Amino acid sequence: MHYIVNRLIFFVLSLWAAVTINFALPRLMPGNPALAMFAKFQGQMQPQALKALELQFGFNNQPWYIQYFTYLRELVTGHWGLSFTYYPTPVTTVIHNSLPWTLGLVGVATVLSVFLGTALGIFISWRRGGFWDNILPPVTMFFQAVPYFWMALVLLFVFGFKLSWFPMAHGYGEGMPAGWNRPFLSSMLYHAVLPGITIFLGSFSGWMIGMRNNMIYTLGEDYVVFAEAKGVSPQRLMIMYAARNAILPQVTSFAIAIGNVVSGSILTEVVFSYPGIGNQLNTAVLNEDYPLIQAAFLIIAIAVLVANLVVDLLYTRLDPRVRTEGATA
Amino acid sequence: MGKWSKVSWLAGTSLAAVVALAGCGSGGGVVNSSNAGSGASTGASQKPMVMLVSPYGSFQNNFNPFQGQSANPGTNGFIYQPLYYFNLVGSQSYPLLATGYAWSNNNLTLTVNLRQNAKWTDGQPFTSKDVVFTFDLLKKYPAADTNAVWQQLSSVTAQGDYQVQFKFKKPNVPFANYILETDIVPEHIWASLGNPLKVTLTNWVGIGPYTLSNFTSQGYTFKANPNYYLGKPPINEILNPAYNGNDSADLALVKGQVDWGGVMIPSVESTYAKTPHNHYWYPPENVVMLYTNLKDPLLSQLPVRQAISMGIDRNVITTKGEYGYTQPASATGLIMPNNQSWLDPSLSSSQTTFQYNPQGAEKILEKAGYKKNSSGIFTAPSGQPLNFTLQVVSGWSDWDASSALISQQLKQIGINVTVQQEQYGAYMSNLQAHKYQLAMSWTNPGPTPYFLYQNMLSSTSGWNLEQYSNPTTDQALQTFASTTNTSQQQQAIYQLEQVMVKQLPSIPLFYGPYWYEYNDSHFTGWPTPNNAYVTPSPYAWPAPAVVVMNLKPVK
Repeated sequence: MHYIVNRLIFFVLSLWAAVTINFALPRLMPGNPALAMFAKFQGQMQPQALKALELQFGFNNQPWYIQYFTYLRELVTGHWGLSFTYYPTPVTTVIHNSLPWTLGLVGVATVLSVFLGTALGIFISWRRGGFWDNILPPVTMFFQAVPYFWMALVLLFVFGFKLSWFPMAHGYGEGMPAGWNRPFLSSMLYHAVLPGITIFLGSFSGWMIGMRNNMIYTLGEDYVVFAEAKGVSPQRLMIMYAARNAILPQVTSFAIAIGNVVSGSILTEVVFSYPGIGNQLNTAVLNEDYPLIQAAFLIIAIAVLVANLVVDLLYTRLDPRVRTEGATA
Repeated sequence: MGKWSKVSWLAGTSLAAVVALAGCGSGGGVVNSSNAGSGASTGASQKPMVMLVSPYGSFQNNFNPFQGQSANPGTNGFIYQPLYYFNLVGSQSYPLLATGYAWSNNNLTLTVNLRQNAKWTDGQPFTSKDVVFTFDLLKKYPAADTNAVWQQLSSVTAQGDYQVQFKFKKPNVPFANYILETDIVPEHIWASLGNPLKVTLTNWVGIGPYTLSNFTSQGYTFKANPNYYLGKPPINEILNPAYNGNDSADLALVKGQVDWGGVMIPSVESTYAKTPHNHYWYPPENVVMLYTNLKDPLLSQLPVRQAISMGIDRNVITTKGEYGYTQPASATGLIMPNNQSWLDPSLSSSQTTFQYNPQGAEKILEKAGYKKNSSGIFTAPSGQPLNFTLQVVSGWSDWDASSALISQQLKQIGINVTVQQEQYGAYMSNLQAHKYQLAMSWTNPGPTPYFLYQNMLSSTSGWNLEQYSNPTTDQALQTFASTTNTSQQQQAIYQLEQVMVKQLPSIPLFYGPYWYEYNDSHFTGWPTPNNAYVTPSPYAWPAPAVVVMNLKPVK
């Protein structure tokens, strides 16, 4: 119980720190959103527009602590402001429209990568020195070592541009009305293939090799040797004795990876013009769109913190040693 | 033990589900994407036109004309329309919601006659009330008045249903442009909406050639407005997809997925234009300048600016830095050939064109008493070496490359230039606050050379980055603005050309081009160098509304 209260206090404190940094960072950037928007249009806006833009975005020169408390109040009450880039669209709408795309794409790719990676890790560690154990780690490591945006560009060029197997951009077909119907969903999946593969290849190797190494360590433990000597079936030994214990670090990383799903995969989304949150974040930062940056970072921070909290709590179930930390020492 | 088996079961089923879904996706998707266009089109079998205006990350349902550039492409032109449009690559003007205009009362009154057969898309007639209402909104909400029209106007009144009078505080003939190019909104809808900047609607009642038919954040579709006052547009449907970066936009263009583009394509000749029916035309849009901060003690010296200008090999810059898509700028500050008719005939061709002359540059500095120090850098008689920083936006790759070339070239004549690449918010804020020495930046052109000169040289302008101030120049600008007499205007422009040639307030480098690519396999009638009837870029709103009325689908 003491442990859980501890974790909760830590959660609240780190949330406050995240929110505060979120307030400070955009304000430390040089320039202001009106100037950024003006420069973005590279002379297509008349100089007299600058004054109107500054009026429109309502810069206040209130002292920072007033701004800070206004910010905290509005954060809690859900008034996250209007995006400067898409003015006058509320940032909540922008996020509402883009977050599901990222959750779908990056989420599914991450889950696939974790489960496949872990399963293969178990398999190759069991047949250590075998054919797959020699082939898979170096090959997958190559794909992970390649910068993932470059991988995205290569996939885009080869399979989208040269071979025309897959679409080159977007989350679904052009001019298609969105809806929960078969043509739309299949178009969505079809468009998700290349960006999905990019994200999958970018993290797969880590999961597989991580699991393999954990397994090798666990397989050397006395209780595994004992179980083997006792005549436990190899199948059961691999899954129930070795893998169950070797998987603990994977669970931690998995929860953190799930938290990171929300921040999307910025460069992949940019390369494939995918309508997700990473794309929005990129646009927002370039345009000094404070409200959108703040909202996006806030959601990312909360997702990561919640994921960490869940891991901490889950650990007490998975690993009894954590629950009884003080008692056994 | 029970827990573990549950986890593995979950993993198994989710994997199976995803694999099954992915399988049906790759099979069905191909058929699907080819169906998407024809299924949605309205009756006729005509292919929809695809526009790639410029890279937009994604769209929000914002077609608010008061949002100017941040509203979605098509707002100004396809949905809403102004009274007039003035071609920027030729001399044509296009009456849109107006049919004509005239100056009176010593050029203090602008009278505009309106079109009598225009109807809003909800069937209500368009009248002078809508025009007066729109300008009253701008007065009431200065944040919406992006052209600052109410600094010039004293009143806007309706004279009957189809005439409007604009009264000016003082004569400003060229300013009529901003008045006539203001988008008009329907009073019967907007009167109850309050602050026009915060208006978001689901149904945007417009007056232009197209109406919005389907909107999603990654693209939207325009449908022809059958009741458009100039007749039903020849193209039934226009798609406007979002492309986030130049990479994906360029690939879509090269692949022929786009009919009309407005993005820069590297090596356009060998990638895009080698395919039959793909064409491009990059006419000059504005003059890209090397701004020299005249409050800097060294840059305020004419010999220093002259030496810099002579030490820059503009041909190398345009071919290497700007991909050969543009030409060195005229020394007059005019945009050639767009402004050919304004060129002062008394200027010789050696005065109007820049010559690369590194020896000449060094001679000018030596003559003015500058001497090279031990590291080969010229030093002023005051002892200050010619060390400057040059600010440019990081990521605008052609400008970054050109700045690097300028720095190399000037090093050879003994001027040390350090390039500083900045993120564009910081860059703009430095330029506006005049915290720079040298900066590469644009100019603000218009249908006559007056606009560029006024913005760059007037002591009261918002884009006088170099802080030039000269009463004679201000007087010449004033003369131009207060007359409709073309020969007087011509004389005033000649005077300004002389200022540029002789005083070199800042250094013209090359022309910034309009980006414009088109494919004529499905539609013909595009603007070309020989038929430059309107500004051709799909982002030069509201010009695309003129272009689409001139296009013809190929049978």
